[in-house]
Amino acid sequence: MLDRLLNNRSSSSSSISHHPANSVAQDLKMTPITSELNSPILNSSIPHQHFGKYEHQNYDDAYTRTLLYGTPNHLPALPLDSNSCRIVVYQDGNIRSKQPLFDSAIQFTGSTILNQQQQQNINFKNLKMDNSRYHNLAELSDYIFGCGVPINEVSTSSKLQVLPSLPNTTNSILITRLFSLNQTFSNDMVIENNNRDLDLENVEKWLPNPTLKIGNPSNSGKNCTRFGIGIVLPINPDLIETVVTDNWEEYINFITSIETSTVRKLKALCSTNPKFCSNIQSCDSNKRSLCFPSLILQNDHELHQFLVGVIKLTHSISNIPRLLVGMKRSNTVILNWCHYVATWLQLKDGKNFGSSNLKFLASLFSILIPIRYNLLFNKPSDKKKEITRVVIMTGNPMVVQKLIFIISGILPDDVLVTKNHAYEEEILRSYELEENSESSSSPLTTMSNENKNHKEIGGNNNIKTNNRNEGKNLNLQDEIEKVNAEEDNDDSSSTNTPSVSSYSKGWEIPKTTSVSLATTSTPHASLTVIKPSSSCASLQCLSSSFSSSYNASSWKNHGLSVLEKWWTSNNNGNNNTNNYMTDSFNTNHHITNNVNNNNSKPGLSLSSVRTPSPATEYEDYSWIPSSLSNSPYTNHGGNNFSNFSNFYNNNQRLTKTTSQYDFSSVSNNINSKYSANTLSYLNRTATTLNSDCDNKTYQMVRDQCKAIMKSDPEIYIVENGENNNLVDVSLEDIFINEECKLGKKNFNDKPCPMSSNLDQVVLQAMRNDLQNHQLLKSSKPTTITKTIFVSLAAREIKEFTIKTTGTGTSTSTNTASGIATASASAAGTTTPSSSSQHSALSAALGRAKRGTTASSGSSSNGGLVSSNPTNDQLANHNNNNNNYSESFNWNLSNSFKNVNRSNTNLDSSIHYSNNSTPDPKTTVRKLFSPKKNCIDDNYVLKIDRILDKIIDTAKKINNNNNNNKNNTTTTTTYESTEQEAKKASADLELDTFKSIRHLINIMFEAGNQENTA
Amino acid sequence: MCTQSFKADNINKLDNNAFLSSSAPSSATCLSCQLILPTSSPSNAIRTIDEESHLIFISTQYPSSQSRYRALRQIVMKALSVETTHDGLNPIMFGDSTAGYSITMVFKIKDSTARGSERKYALIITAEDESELVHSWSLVVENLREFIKLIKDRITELELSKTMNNTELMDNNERFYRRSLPKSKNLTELLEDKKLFIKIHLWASNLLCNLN
Repeated sequence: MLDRLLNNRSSSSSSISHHPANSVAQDLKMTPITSELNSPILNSSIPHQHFGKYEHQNYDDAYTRTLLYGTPNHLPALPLDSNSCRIVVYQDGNIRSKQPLFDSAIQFTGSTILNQQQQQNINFKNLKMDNSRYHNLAELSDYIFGCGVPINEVSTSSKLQVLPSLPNTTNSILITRLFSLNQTFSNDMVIENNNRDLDLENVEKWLPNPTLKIGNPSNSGKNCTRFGIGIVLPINPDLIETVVTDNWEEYINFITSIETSTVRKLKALCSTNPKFCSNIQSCDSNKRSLCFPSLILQNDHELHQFLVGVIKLTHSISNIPRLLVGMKRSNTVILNWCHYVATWLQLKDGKNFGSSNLKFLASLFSILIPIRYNLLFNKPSDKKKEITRVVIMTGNPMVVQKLIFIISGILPDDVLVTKNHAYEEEILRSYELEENSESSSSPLTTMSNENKNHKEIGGNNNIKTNNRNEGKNLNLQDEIEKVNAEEDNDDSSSTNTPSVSSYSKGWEIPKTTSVSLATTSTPHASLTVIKPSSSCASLQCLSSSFSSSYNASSWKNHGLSVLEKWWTSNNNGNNNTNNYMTDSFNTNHHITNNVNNNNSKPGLSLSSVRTPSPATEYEDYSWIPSSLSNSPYTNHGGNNFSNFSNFYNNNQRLTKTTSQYDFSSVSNNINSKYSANTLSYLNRTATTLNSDCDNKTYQMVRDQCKAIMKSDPEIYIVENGENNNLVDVSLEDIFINEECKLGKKNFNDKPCPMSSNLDQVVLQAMRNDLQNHQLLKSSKPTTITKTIFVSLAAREIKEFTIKTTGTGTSTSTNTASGIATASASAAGTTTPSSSSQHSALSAALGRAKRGTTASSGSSSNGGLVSSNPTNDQLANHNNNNNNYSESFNWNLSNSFKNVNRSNTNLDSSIHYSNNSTPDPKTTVRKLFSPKKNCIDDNYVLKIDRILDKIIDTAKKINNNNNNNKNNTTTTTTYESTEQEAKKASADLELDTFKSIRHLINIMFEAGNQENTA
Repeated sequence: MCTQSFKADNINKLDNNAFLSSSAPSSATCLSCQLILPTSSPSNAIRTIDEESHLIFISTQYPSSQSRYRALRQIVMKALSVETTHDGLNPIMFGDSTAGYSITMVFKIKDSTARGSERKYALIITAEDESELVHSWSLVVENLREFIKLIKDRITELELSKTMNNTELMDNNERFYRRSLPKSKNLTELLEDKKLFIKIHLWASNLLCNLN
């Protein structure tokens, strides 16, 4: 605990330095960086903001960061000067003149709003552009259109190049899109159906495959005018791979959006002013069919918003840290995971309170496990038809991070590490370090040398036989049967879900004064002694279960000041009676209005800074066990019940010291070897691991090139007729002592930006899925995109589905907008709960877009999954939809099979269809709620049982450590006995971890069986 | 020179002549553009077989198929004459759905006998799939940069030796009096390396192998 407190102090002080109070006010004036799950929402009117200010604002503490990201450090943000970002739209009038239609870098010195007449007569002297920051127009047009030999192209093309540095900016990247339009504006999105099998017939063919299949103008290029869109990003070329090329689909999709918007606007201009396309009448082949005045789109609001969008997109891509996946390789992580699961089950699901058990986590697992193999992998060439996204919505970013960590445990890390060499290398190295540190600090062995230890201590099998048998003799099928048998014998039914209306009591968190509990329970297995108690205080209690502190300064110390401010202003506006956040931020940074001042201990304000106040969970699901007398914990501390009631009634707040589940106790306890502090830290950035693999790869490239150039290759002439000889040469002769194959680093799972209007954003993202998927994978007639929407406050899991059955080979942009309209209406009517959540937090676990977040290359296996507590919504406090979005992206793609099983509640399904475009159908289905469970009960029960077993097994490790500690204090004279005891303990521990892993595998296996059933 | 990779299964079914005859007659190409191999008998192609990946890499003067030839011709023109970069050290990616997608890097070699005293070359990696090519950016660019650097190093080395031997003086006079017209010169001659195209083939094969 001391370690954590010390860390807290250090981190808090640094945070304070980063966020002085005046800077908070400054931040709040900023335009919110709201963005969509897939593509940015364009709702800001200020194009240039310094978005880098948000880089220090992290809602997770070092402990959570270590668990989620593999490092306790704040991940450095991309140094992006948003003022230097630029979007330009050019028109290629003729060889000598290329007019800008829009340039975000240009500012009018005179009137800022021009009418159309004025726009046609723009005086360029009134234009102002910072030439030390932006490339001049002529130079940029050369980069966009090329210079030198004029060529006549009509096809849509894309380009990526590096721009020279300027006095006020370093090198920058230019992403270009070129397209042609004629007077009919017939730049339809033609879905091509390329059969790309590399069979014999296609060996000689050349079938280019663009990222987004947007067809050429139907009018074969006659009288077409060429347009160019350029996005300038002030990014160092060294980061071009991390930022741009790894996320190429994102940027291509974004620039396609600009293209679509531009075409629409130009078309509208032509319809209102026919002289823009009057050249058609001349029938002069040398004249363009379209000719617009310069800067005709300069005042277009949407294009300015695109600039904000691209900044947000770049920030989201570069700064959202990817989640570390690889839980099962580390004993520490797996034990932490067990602890979190146990805590969640007891505090959030009400486990062990008889019929009130929600089985929420088990239900969520039962939904996600069958699709867990589809969560991570995605690449452009995938032919999968279904895109799945998971969105979690709650009021507390901390809670959702715990849930994210729990869910990360079911991700298939085994596939990751086997396919991603760089990742595997780094993870293995990390865990080797962990092993070394553990072995040096403790005689007990760790997972990494299981086999070795197993041999060494094989003679001690008799010690603690029960535990060993349970650990060693686990057979997958037997275990499943065992679990099933237990289910049959269990009288309790998950269908007896508590009624929300009958809830009148909450939980009691035992105080730390209950020494006996502290010594007998394990922090990991969470033998909690929560007592059913009175009403809505449960929410704060639940929060305290995750090491909470109520002191507002803790927020600030962790860089949460903006969030605090947001909460404060938000709560002021809503006068929520359950809301303990006040406007006291501006005075003394304490949340005190409803808080007993007795708890505002200055000593705690600095030390208990790990997680936000329990008050922040005010919107959590407020449920109460229906039968208090049945609680198994009643006997443990009945007196705590009244204590807690008094505690709550006095409006006291729970602090870390009153929390039974304070993780800090782990680090100071006998289990310190399994705390996050003992984890080895990965050297990483937000999106990549800083491994030596890159350097090795580059060095290998250099070595190979040198070897080739300096070699004297032997050639063998294969005579093949007159003048047709073939020269054979072998690479092996040159690389005789070198590795020929290169490893590639790939961490390609992409982040997805956030939005304040989550359900709309989700549905918009799903619509984008459809559109892009059709553009990407046109050969598939049916496209399905699904979102699993988890509302923690209401304990509901919903499923949004949009399905389209393509009937033709082409979909026009108009059709796509038709889909959007239909889906938007569906969102508004079917998800009122999500939008009406007060100060809701949402976390999107999501495959952002099929086409836009696809991972790179054939070997792209995301070792990291993005997870980002972002601040984009913080300044949105004046908005009634005060949703805080935490979004991260697991590439949830492909099938979502059998989630709705036998008990599928069709009554709750709502189908929407658009009359004009009958194909797309939006379905919203409630899979789980406290009152109704549409998931297969048996499967949920099975998962629930397995989770219980996992936790029970994890307890043994703690008990073992407890025994060890006692032994070491008592047996000091007989060394041999001590050695034996240590070996036995190690043996037991080894088997326990094996058992845990085995049980997790059983859980996965059960999911697979469900999936194939 | 164009290096292509083929699956061994497919290539076995095809007639080798399909590739070998794809080379244009030597009379159709100038010395600058000719693929010159260090063999006594006329040879048109270089072949490398990678047993592990079951890929065959074949380098010829031109691509084997008409469609690929057409695409490559357009790409080469754009790379050398249209697209521009602010210096020679930066790659550029461009492409469309007809010509395919390319990452190119242009470099110049000093040659007093050439027009403008330099000759322009480009190393181009072309692919059908835009995403796959872009996602291979770092590997491709690193290969391009390193190989071009080695070629330039070789040129610098030769220049130094020429300076030492005072052979440059006569060239200067010839150029000053404009007695000699710009003449075609092959890259092998510039680098004084008869096996240069073999090496380029090996480099390209290795890169394609790594990309696969």
